[in-house]
Amino acid sequence: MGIFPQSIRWRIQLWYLLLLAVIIAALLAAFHRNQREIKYQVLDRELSNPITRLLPNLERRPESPPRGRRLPRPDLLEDFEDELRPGLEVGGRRSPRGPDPLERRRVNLDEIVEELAENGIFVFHWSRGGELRFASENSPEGLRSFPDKVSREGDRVSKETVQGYREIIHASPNVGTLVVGASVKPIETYLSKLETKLIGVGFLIIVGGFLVGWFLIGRSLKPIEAISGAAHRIAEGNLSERIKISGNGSELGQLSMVLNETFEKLETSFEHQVRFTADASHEMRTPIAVILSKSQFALSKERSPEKYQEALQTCVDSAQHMRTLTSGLLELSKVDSGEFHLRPGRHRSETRIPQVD
Amino acid sequence: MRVLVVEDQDDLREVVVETLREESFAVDESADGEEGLYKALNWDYDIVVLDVMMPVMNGWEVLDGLRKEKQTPVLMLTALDQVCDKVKGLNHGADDYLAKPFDLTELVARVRAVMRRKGGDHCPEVTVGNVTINTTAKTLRLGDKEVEVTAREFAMAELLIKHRDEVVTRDFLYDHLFDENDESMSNMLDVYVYKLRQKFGKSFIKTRRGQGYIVESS
Repeated sequence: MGIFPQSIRWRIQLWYLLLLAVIIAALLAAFHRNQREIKYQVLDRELSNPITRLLPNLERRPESPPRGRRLPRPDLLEDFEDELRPGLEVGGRRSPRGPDPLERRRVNLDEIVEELAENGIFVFHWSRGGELRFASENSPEGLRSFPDKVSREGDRVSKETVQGYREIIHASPNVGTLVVGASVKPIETYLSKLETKLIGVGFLIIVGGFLVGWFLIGRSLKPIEAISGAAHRIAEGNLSERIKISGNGSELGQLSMVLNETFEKLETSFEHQVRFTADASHEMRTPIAVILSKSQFALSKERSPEKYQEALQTCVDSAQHMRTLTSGLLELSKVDSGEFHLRPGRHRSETRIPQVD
Repeated sequence: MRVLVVEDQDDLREVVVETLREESFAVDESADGEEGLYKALNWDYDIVVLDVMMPVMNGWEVLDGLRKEKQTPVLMLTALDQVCDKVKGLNHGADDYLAKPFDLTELVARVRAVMRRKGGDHCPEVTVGNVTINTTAKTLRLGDKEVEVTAREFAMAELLIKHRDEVVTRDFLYDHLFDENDESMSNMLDVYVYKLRQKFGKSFIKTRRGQGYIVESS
């Protein structure tokens, strides 16, 4: 008995469950991964959209384009309104009357950022030199460092997940580095809930598989129980017992048939044996009776030497008769066991059979 | 007492016959069933010792043939000792059953027991007047004193006592005391009667003229 139980049922059951568990785990893991990817793709699309909206507002600012967003330190960006004021002043200075197109862009940008903030999306903007020019109110502190993604020619877009936030980093020579990000917490929460659900489902499938497997294995092992039961009864001495065969086509049905044939032969040979023994003992009885009664007769009282001689002679004759019998029986048993072969041929029966009364 | 032994095995038949003769039975023998049945039907034997496995006619057939006409006691002798064989034998009308190989003493005891039962006596010792016979010990006593008798004298006394209070004819006595090979003349009966009267008194055996002899129990 090793780690695995000897029972065939349990062995099959264990391997089957192991296989089932591996397959289920792999499938569920793939599903989970797929869900995660889909969620991230959706998020990325959500984050990519604002970039296309923001970019026109940030492009081409020949002279100090991010007027109000030039900040000495990132933590001063706490209040977006404060941020705006210097911009307005600068704008006001540049075009005191009427809305300056830059000013309009600025307002537009603010609206977009506000709208984005409502959806939990934050925006950073760095100049090409790595100077933080703009940061949304809801942006996490830890991310206000330059991502070091700069593009000198053409736009470069990259995605990364940092400290639980998903960011799309858009770097272009024109705009500098624009980062749009959002927390992945809702996704992770969703995914962890999904994970719990999937584990539950997997467990249920495995339990169901176990039950179905138990039933199926039980059904297919039933003939084995029948075989072992019949073999038990035969071992107890009931030689006429046979296995009840159900379904000749199955391997076990065929095995049962073979076993039944074997039992049949066994019973026949056992009957042979019994009959042979009975016949042999029957044949022996008469000579034994002669020897026994003749010697008892001779010993019952004092007799003449002739009587004793006669008695002894009878005993010798009977013993020799028994000797002939035993060698005959031995030959007979040889014939039965197949050691001895008959040689059929033509003979004249009169010459072979001496005389029959 | 006259016995018929039907047995095909010569040595065995011989020893059984000799033993029974030594037990003072008059014994006839047959080597096959057909002859055995013929003898059993034509003589009144006190018992037939019958083997089962025989050529020509087996023991069962002999028994069936005999039972159609006679109630002669039969002791079956056979090499088959399965219970069903014994039951079959007894159901066919055999009185007892003995499996080979047997002890001679048991055979004799059973032969005697079967005959005793047929005669209505269950005890081997019977007393008639002041004469007591013991069929097992083969002794005759007059009062308390044992009297020496020859085998033939004993056999005659046994026969007469078994048929006490009945008139026993001379033919009956002759048939049951001498076997088929016996050359004795019938006047030997008179000799035995004379000897027994000498030993047990004149009144032990009474003569019924023209009929036979009688032993009266009182």
